[in-house]
Amino acid sequence: MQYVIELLTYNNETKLGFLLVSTIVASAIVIALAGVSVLPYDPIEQDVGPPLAGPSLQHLFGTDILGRDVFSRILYATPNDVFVSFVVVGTSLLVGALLGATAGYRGGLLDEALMRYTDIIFAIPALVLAISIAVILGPGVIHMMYALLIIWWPPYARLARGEALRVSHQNYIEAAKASGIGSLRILTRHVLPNILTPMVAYATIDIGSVVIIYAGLSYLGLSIRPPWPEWGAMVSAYQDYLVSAPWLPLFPALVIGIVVVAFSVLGDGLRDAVEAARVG
Amino acid sequence: MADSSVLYVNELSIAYELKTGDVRAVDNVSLSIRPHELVAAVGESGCGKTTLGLSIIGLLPSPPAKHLSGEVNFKGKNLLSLAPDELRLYRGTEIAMIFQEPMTSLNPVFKIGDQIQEAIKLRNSRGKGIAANEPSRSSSPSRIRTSARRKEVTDVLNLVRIPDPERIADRYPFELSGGMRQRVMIGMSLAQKPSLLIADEPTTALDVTTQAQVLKLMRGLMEEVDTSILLITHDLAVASQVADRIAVMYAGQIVEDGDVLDLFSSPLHPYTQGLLACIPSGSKEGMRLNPIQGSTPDLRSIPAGCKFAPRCPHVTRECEATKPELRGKEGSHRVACYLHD
Repeated sequence: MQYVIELLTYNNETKLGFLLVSTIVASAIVIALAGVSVLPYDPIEQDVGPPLAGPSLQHLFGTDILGRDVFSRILYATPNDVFVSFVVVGTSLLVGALLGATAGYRGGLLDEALMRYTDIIFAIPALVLAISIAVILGPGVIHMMYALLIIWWPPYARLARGEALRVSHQNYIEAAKASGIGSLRILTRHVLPNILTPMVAYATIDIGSVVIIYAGLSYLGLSIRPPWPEWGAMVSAYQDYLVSAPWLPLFPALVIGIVVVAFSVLGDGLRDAVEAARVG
Repeated sequence: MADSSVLYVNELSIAYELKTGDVRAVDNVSLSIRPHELVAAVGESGCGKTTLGLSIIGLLPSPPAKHLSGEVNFKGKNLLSLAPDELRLYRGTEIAMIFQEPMTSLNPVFKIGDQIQEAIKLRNSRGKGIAANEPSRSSSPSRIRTSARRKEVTDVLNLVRIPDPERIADRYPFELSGGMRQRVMIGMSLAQKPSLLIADEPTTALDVTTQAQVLKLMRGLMEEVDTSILLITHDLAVASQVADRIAVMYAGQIVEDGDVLDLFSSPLHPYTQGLLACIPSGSKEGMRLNPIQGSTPDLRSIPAGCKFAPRCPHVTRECEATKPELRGKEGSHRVACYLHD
């Protein structure tokens, strides 16, 4: 715990990143639990204001052609985007760490098979592959999460394998073997905890990447169905108004940007902090 | 002789398979260790002493290591004939090993106390501790169990004379000095009550003062926890401080083996004599040290006869033609040299 706090307060970058990320996550949780009632307006209710009204005190981000409040729509989409990103990255981290660490520690056929599979995934551009899988499965949030998961965990497995290789040549692993500890226990108790920190730092940056890809897929109409809002889908729906009502596509795009930057600032800082902790 | 020994290594030969050919790292080594005996294997870098240690505990990476012949008898059982899973049960609770680098031998992400507890748990799970015979303990409230475990941990730290064990148990490895960490390692190894502790250069990374303390501690604990020690070192001075018996190794072979006193008062092998001549006396001023001429042979192209022949001041034609074997009774002063036939 103390170690976590140390990492998070390592420098201004980690502090800022942590502040932004915790704000995003906290608002996502509040909105997910409390629902529409905490928002200024119902996100799918039409004619809550005049159509295509500009930003004002009543409607912070203006209204769209159907008179829906854009601010409420953006807020309402937060839990969805954050949830998808966390699930995809979290599952990838878990699967990747377990498979990669086992492969790196044990070597042999499993290692070979896993690395060749990741080679295949790496050879195909992520977005193209995700689109293909999502199209085959059909639109929908869950289907898209499947699509993302299939392409998302291999880099984690690679990272975990590399780290496990590094760790398994350390003396404390040799010492653990010499004291008769079984290989499963060495793996879970001595290898995994030592590879986790750099992986979590990577995962934090990576959440931003999932947000972008997810928004991209939504932009192509592969995720949530209208009228329910999603950031990428909103950019797509509002792009026709880029000239007449520029705030409409601009605000969701801006939010995507801020979220991505928040996670990468935190992740970047964490990476430095982890590096420093390892050297120091 | 072999009957009363804890460990009896019988004519063990081990080679490393390299692209450039096989290298015989351990060559026909026989060595026995009795209960409560501290035997030191002394030799230069690359003479096969670490390979010997690792082969006893079964941790030699294979390949490239290859067992050519011989046995490692531990309490009458040949460890080399066991399956990996069976052998694992010997590690820790029967044979423990500590390594040269105390700075990296502890897992950096866990507290000292937790790591010691792991060793204790392992011992208990194998039924060597009291806890295994006391199933009622698991039904006691967890608070009592925790404090009992805590007590065992501080007992271990007390055993290796670590001051303020309560506080040290909550520290992470990086907060401890090298000497402290090596003590913790020794404590962890001995917590499992092994019958044999293999210590591979345990004090090499420590400064001289700490070195002496740790050695004295190990010597003292040997009686206390009822174990034997195989000390692997390159330092004859270190060996002389604590060992009962010294086996001098040269190029994979034991060239001389005997009681510390015998070995120091009347070294028989020219190599041992040379090593002793290399120790600075400290009392005689202005004397030059008298090093052994030449360097250790390349193990890929060892001489046909005595491996020490090219460097030996007393070399004869016989030495160059055939290899001398270790002569004498097991456990007495033995030497592999034609000078003493």
